[in-house]
Amino acid sequence: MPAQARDGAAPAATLAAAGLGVRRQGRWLLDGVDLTLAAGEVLVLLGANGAGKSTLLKCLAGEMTPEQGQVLLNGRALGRWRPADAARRRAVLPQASPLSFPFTALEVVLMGRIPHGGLQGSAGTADLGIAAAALAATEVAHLAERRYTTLSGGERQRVHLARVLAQLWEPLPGREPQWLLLDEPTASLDLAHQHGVLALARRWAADPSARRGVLVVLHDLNLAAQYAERIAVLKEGRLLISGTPAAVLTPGLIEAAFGLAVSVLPHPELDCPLIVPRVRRGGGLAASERPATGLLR
Amino acid sequence: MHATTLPLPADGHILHRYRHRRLGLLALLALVCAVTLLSIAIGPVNIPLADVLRTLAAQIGLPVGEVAPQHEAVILSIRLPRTLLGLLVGAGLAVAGAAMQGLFRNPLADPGLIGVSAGAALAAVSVIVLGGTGLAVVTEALGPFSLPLAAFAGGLGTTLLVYRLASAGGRTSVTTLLLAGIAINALCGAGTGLLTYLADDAQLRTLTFWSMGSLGGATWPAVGSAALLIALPLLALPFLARTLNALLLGEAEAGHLGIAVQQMQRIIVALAALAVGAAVAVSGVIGFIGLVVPHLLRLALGPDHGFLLPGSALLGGALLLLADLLARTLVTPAELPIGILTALLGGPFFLALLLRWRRTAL
Repeated sequence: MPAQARDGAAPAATLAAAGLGVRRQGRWLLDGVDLTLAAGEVLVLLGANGAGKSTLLKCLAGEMTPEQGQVLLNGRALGRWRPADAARRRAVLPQASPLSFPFTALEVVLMGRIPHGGLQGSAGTADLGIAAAALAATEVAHLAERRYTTLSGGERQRVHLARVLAQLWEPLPGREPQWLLLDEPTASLDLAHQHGVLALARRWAADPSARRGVLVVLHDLNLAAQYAERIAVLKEGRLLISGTPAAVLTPGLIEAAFGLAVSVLPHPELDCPLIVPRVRRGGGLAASERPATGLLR
Repeated sequence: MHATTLPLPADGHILHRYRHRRLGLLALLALVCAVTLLSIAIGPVNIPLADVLRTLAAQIGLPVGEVAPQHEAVILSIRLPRTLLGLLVGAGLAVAGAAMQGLFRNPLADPGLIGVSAGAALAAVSVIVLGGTGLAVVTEALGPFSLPLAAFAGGLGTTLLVYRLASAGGRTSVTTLLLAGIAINALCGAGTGLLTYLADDAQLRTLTFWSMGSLGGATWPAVGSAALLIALPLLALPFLARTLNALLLGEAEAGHLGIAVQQMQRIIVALAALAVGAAVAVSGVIGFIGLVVPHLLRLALGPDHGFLLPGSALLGGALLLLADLLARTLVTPAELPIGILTALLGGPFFLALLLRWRRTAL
C-alpha cells in the first residue's frame, strides 16, 4: 500500500522531522529540530551525551511521540501508518536488546521477517534465504545455529544488524523508499567490524536496485568523516548544523558541540577530514573546559 | 532482489530443526493419549485397558462389544470427567505460564509465583464465603458462572498489578517481579485467611480444597465450564506466537517490527488470566505447572512460541494427569491434594532454576 500523493505523483522520498519538540520533566530534550533524510544517503548524527540524539532517533522510529512537530515517513505522518506498514518501510537497530532467551542467531534474524508474514505464518523458504543472506552480509553466517545467549556483545550486535537488514531486504513495490536507523551500531564492535558495518551502510544506501536511506548515530568523528555523506550535529536538543563532513567537521564547530579542542587535517589517503584531539604535554585536554559528557560508557 | 539466490548455509539445518520440533509435538501428543488412558484405567477399581477403549469407542458410536456396566459407570461418571478436567487445567496453566513468561520476558514468571493464582483464589473464595450475603447481588446475577468469572477477574487484576509494578520503560525487573509476587501472595493469603475465619463448616471444607488444589470436584458441569473458558486462550494464544517472540526482543523492538505492543500485551494478559482464573475456579491453586512445563520444553524444543505454546498445552495436560494419578493412588483410599504434589515436585525445580539464573544472568 504505497503512500500515493493525491495528484498521483511519486510519494515524497524522505524521512523527515519537522519542528520536533520533546519535553520531559520541564526540560526540552529536543527543540525545533528539522532534519530530512533522503533516499540514497548515509546521514550521521553526532552530538555530546545528552544532546538529544537518541530522543531524535526514537521520534523518527515512532517509539516516542513529540510534543511539537511531526515525523513524516514517505510524506505521511508516522502516526497515520499502520504499524506493520511502517515496519516494512523503516527498521531500527537499538543500542542493546533485552533478549535473554536462547533463540538461535538465525531465529533472531527471522524475527525481522515478522512484518512480512501473516499473523502467525511461520517462516517460509524465502524468509530463510533472506535471513541466511543477511547473516552473511554482517559476517555472522557461521553463528547461524549458535544460541544468541552464548554470543559476545559484538556478535549479538551484528546478529541484530542482520535482523534489521532482513526487515528491509526486498525493495518495496514501486520502489518506495526504505529507512534504516542505526543507534550507535559500532559501540561494541572491534575496529575492523566498525568499518565493516559502516561500509555496509554505505553500500545499502547506494544500492541502485532499491531506494534506501541510512541514519547512523555515532560518537567517533573520524568514522563519521569517512562514511557520512552528510553530518548533522545536535547540541542541547537543537540542530547545530548539518552539511558535508568537510563543512561540518571544523575545529570551531567541534569545540562548540563537544567542548573538545581538536586539529583537523586532510586525511593522508582518503578524501575526507581527519580529526585529532589536541592534548597538552601534561595530559590534560587543551579545551578551556573538560567536555561535559556525563557518565562514560 | 539479490537475496533469494544466495546459497543458504543454514537452510538444511533449520528444516531439520523444524522437523525435529514437529516430531517432538507428535511425541507429546502420544504421551497425552497414553496418560489419558492410564488415568481412566487406574484407580481404586482397576479397569482393563480394553474396557476403557471399548467404552470410549462406544461413546463416539462405534459398534464394539459389551463392557461390564459398573466399569462403564465408573469411567463415564468419575474417571472421564476428572481426566478431561486434568487435561484442561494442566494445559491452561502451562500455556498461561508460557505466555506470561513471554510477556514478562522472564522464565520465572509462573502464575502461582507472581500471585496471579492467589488473586484468582481470593476472588473465588470471596464468592464462596460471601456469596450468600455481601456478594449476593453478584452470585444471583451470574449464576453458575460467578465462581469462574470472579476467579478470572481476580487473576486479571493481579496480573495487571504485577505487570505495572515490575515493568518500567520497556524493561521488566526480575527482582521486582518476584518481590511483588511475594507481597501479592501474602496479601491474598491474608484475605483468604480472613474469609476462612468467617466461613462456616460446609464452606470450610470447600475452602481447604481451594487452598491446596484438587481435581476431586470434577463433574461434567465443571468440565463444561472449564472447557468453555480455557478453550479460548488455548486456541487463541498460539496465534500470538510471533508477537510473543517479538516481545522477547523488547517492547520498543517489537514496536519497530510493526506490532501494536500495548494492545497485544492487553490481549495476552487477558487470555492468560482467563486460563488461570478458569483453572483456579475448577481446581483451586495448583502451582508450578506453569513454571516447569515451559521450561522443560524450552530446553528440548527451544524458545520459539510457535512450538512452545502447543507443546506446553500437551505437556501441561499430561504432567497434571500424572500428578493426579499419583495423588489418587499413593495413599488409597484417601487422596492427596494435587497442589501439594506439584509443589513437592516444582519447589526444588524452582530452586535449581534460581541457582542457575544467579550464576548466568545476574
